[in-house]
Parts: sequence; structure tokens; C-alpha cells
Amino acid sequence: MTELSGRRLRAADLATGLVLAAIGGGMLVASLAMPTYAERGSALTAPGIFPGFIAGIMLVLGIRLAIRTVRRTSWPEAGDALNWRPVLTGLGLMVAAIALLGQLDFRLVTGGFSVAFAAYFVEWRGTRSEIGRRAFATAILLVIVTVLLPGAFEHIFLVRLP
Amino acid sequence: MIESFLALATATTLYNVLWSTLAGIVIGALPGLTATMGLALMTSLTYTMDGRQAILVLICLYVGSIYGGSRSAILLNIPGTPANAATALEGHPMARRGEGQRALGLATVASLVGGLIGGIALALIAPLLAELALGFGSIEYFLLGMVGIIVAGKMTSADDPLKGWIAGFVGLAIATVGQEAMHAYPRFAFGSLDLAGGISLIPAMVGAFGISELLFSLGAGKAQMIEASTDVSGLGSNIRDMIRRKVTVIRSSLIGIVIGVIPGVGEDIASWISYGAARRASRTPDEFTKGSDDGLIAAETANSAALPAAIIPALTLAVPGSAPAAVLLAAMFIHNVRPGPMIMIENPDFVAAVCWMVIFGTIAMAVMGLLLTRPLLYVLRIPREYLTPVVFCLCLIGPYALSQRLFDVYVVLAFGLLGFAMRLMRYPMAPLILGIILGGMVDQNLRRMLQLIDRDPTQIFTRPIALVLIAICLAAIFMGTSRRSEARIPGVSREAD
Repeated sequence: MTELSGRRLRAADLATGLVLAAIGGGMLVASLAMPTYAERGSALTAPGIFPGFIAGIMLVLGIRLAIRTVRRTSWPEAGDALNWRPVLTGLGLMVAAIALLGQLDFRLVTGGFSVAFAAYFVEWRGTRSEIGRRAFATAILLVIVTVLLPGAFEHIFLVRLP
Repeated sequence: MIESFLALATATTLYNVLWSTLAGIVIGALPGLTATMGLALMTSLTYTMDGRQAILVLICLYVGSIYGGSRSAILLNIPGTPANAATALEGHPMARRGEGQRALGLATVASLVGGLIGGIALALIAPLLAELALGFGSIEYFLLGMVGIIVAGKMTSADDPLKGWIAGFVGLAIATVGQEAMHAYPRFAFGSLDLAGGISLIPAMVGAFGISELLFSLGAGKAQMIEASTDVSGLGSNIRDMIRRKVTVIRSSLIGIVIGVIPGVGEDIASWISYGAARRASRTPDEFTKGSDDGLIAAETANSAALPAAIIPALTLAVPGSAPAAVLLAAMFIHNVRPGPMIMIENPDFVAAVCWMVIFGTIAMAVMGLLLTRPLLYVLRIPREYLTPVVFCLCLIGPYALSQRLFDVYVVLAFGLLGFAMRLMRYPMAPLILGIILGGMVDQNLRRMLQLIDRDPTQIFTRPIALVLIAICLAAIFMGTSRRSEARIPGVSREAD
């Protein structure tokens, strides 16, 4: 149980309800502005009908979520809290890797990501043999992400990697 | 059926069944890798394969991963896939009291029986449903899509259906992005050619199930594995235990099949409902959560029976019964198979072949599960620090390989963040994916339906299937918005894997 609970969930639900209602409203306006193509036969095939229908429902659901959140008094109890530091570090590394795709060779990106990931997440303290084992495992990881996986996709599945 | 069996019974098939089922077991057993994610990644690897062999690989991977999740559920108390959450409640206490081997054996035999019963149900129900669906028009298809979203939203978020429905309609909203089918008008593209091409399902699923799971597992604590070797339990005693609990087995299989057929609901809900039914029916309900055989058998039989059942609507209506079945559906389109009501007319041997694929995968799963107990324990020991970069690399390369568009990699990241936020705020993921899949169908049939109703508004009342679908929609909405439901405190949002 690492999901949000208590006051944080209440704030998140309220914000979600309002954002959803706003998106629903925006989509509704955009749907009404879409062409109807009535001159091609019937306005009932207009591209805006379906998004407008969905937008209307999202607007209602968003408002309902916001109202329910304001009225609700009982909230689920807190479970194990999510450890945010590793999550944000991992996310930062992922975003950086994806941003570099297309700028650098794919192998450099995945290799760099793996080295950075291992540097942060692998426990580098311990006896010499323990550190040696972990360094060996990291080397195998590097071979997998820079040679085996890209090689398999490039040579077996004939995919040109970025 | 016999011809399909003979056509499929080749050395290539045997080879593909063995490696893909084993890969599925490993994927399912590793916490942080789910069946949906495994299927989504494997779809790109099967791109160049023969269509039937590719679907065989994906089905065996699906069967293996749902079963493989029971390993980590029993030994680590971490369900490898959401479908094994109820298994952890009973299997882990059994392992803690030294009956790990027995729990693994029971889970294997229960999965085998559930999978075989589900496979038979697939062979029997798919032709009937396809025939029924031949009478579907645009009114029925539109209503079927709405039933899928509303029922999946209600069932995957039983404690808080509003969140399930929000997830489903957000999925439908995402499906509106890109050129629509009737006039090729680019909706919500904002001048971008990539957005005009629409949001592809595979990158969305890899992000929602893969990246979000990786992020979540980084923030969760490490688990302690319990060794399974403290007891000795043979296959014979497992089978005797199953026979003693035949009522639980039959009930759980039926629940699995019924829940599996419902669009978008999936194996995990089948497992929970079956577990709850077994607890209510038990003469010793106090034993539940302390290592009950009944509870373990109910959970594993139901999730394995739900798996082939989830393929039934995917094959006959092109509406998936679960999130992994949604990937399977997408893979069928990639490999030029056209699922839908016409499949029994255009491609009847494919349906029979799919039944055999499920049965082959189920048998391979049981054989490998029983024979490879000890080697599979090593898989659970792979540290997440080394596994995460490999999975992340696959999450980038897999979706890119399908379309060769960097845009799809950005979609992976965006859906990873969306999936992470949704899970954090207790929204189920399955209705979101179902919405993305059904969006095109619901859109076109809504507009066709409006034209039909414009000509004759009364015809909706002359179509019995449409009336039944409307009744199901209204019942689900009523049950989800009743005071009793609203008064509940939202608990765990169980999501279909």
C-alpha cells in the first residue's frame, strides 16, 4: 500500500476533479468548433460529435469528483509511504535518457543510463569481493543493454535504432 | 479442431511454446514486470514472425506470466502480477510455516486445471458469441463499448467506481486524438503530424504498465524471500488436495470464465471474486489469510480460467476481456488477423488454433512449473538494480521498433507518468487502456447510430440485445452511484493486469 491517503489524497482528488472538468470544458468548446461536413450529407457524422460526447461526460465526472471530495469526511488510512528519493532519481534518469535519444547513439544513451543507474542504486559499500561481484554484474548489465539488446533488434529484427 | 491441432503440431510450435511459456513464467515471477508489459514488449519481438507463431508466442507468454506471478506472491509476498494478489494472502503464510513447496505445487495444479477448463470454455463459447455478434449493428456496438467502459470501471475499482469510470472516459478521450475515420479530420493534433497519427496502443501500454511499474518498484521496500525447500510435496498429494476441493475448483473456474468474458475486467478481479466466494462458502473461514488451501486454489484457478475467457470477446467482438488481451488484440491486427464477428466465417480455424495455443501453453506452464521449481527461485533473486535498466531499455526499444518514430518513445514516457500518477491516486489502469482500444469503434458506431436513429427513433426499442446492453449499463451506473457505494471508503483500486 504505497498509494496516497488522507489529506494528500483529498487534495489530489480535488485537483483531479477540477482539472478533469476544465479539460472536459475545453474539449467541448473545441468539439463545437470542428467542421460538421453537413454539405457531404449529414451533420450527424461530424468529427466533433464523439469528442463532444466524451467531453460532456468528463465534465460531469470531474465536477462530481470535486463535489464528492469536498463533502467526504472519511479517507483511507496511510499505508507504507512511497520512498520518493529513488523514484525521483529514477524518473530524472529516464527523462534524461529519453531526451538524449536521437541526439546521441542509442547504445551510448542506454549505456549511460545503466551506468548512472547502477552508480546510484547499487550498494557500493562492503567487502572487496562483494564490490567486485557487483562491478561484474554491472559489466554484464552494460553488455546486455549496449550490445545484446540493440544488436538483436538491429540484426535480427532489422530495426534501425536512433 | 483436429485439423487445427495437426496444423499446429510442429517442432517449431513446440520450441516456441517452451521458450515463450518459460519467458512468461520468468516475467510474471519478477516483481516489477507484469503480464501486460511482457506482452507489449514481446509484440515488437514477434513482428517479423509468422502470424500464427507470433500469436502462439504471445498467448504462451500470457499464460506463463499469470502463473509465474504466483511464485513471487508465495515466496516474497509480492504478487508478480495483480492477478496473483489474492494468492499472496494464502500462499505466503503457507510458505512461512514451511509449506512453500506445497503452496507452489497447489498453485501449479490449480492453474493447470483453471487454464484447461478456460481453454475448453473458449472453444465452446467463442463460436456462440460470434454467431450472436453477427446480429450486432452500430447501435449494439456503440452500447457494447459503453458497457465495457462502465462495467470495467465499476469492477476494477469496486470501492470507488467513479475513479474507474474517469479512467475509462479519459481513455476514450485519448482515443479521439488524431485523424478520425469518417472524414480524416485531425482532432486535437494542434498542427503536429505525430499527433495527427494518433496515440498508438503499444507505447501507451508499455508506458502505463511498464514505466509506471518501474517507478513504483523503485519507491517500494525490498522483500525477503522465503525458501521453498523446507517441505517435500509431490504432485500426487497436490492432485489429491485439488480433488478434495473439487467444489471450489468448479466454482472458481466458472467465476473465472464469467468475469473473463466481461470486457476489460480481467484475471485479477476474477481472482478476488473467486477468493471472496470461497471464503463465504468455507466451513472454516477463519483459516483464510492464515494459509488456506481453499483460498489459494480459488485464486489461482479463477485467474487461469479467466485468461482464455478474456480472449473470447477479443476474438469474436474485437473487445478485449483484460489488459493483456488488449495487447493480444493489437498484435492480431499487426499480424493481419481481423478479430470480430466475421472471424468464425472468414477464419474459423484460427479460433480453434487459439484454443490449442492456450492448452499447449497451459500444459507447458504446468510441466515447467513443476520441473523447474529450484531454477526459477534464482530468478526471484535478481536484484532490481540490475533488472530495471534492462526493462527500461526494452521499454524504449520495443515501441520504437514497431513504428520507428521517436514520438512513440515520448508517448511511453507520458503514459508512464500518467500511469504512475493514476496508481498513486488509486485509479485503475485497465479501463484507461480499454477506452483507448474501444475509442475508434465507439466513435464510428455512435455516428452511424445517430444517423439510424435520425431516420427511425423507435428502432432502438425493437432490438433486444440493445435493450439488454442498456439495462446492464444502467444497472452498473446505479450500483456504482447508490448511497451504499458512495458511503464506502475507497480502498485498494484493484487493477486488471
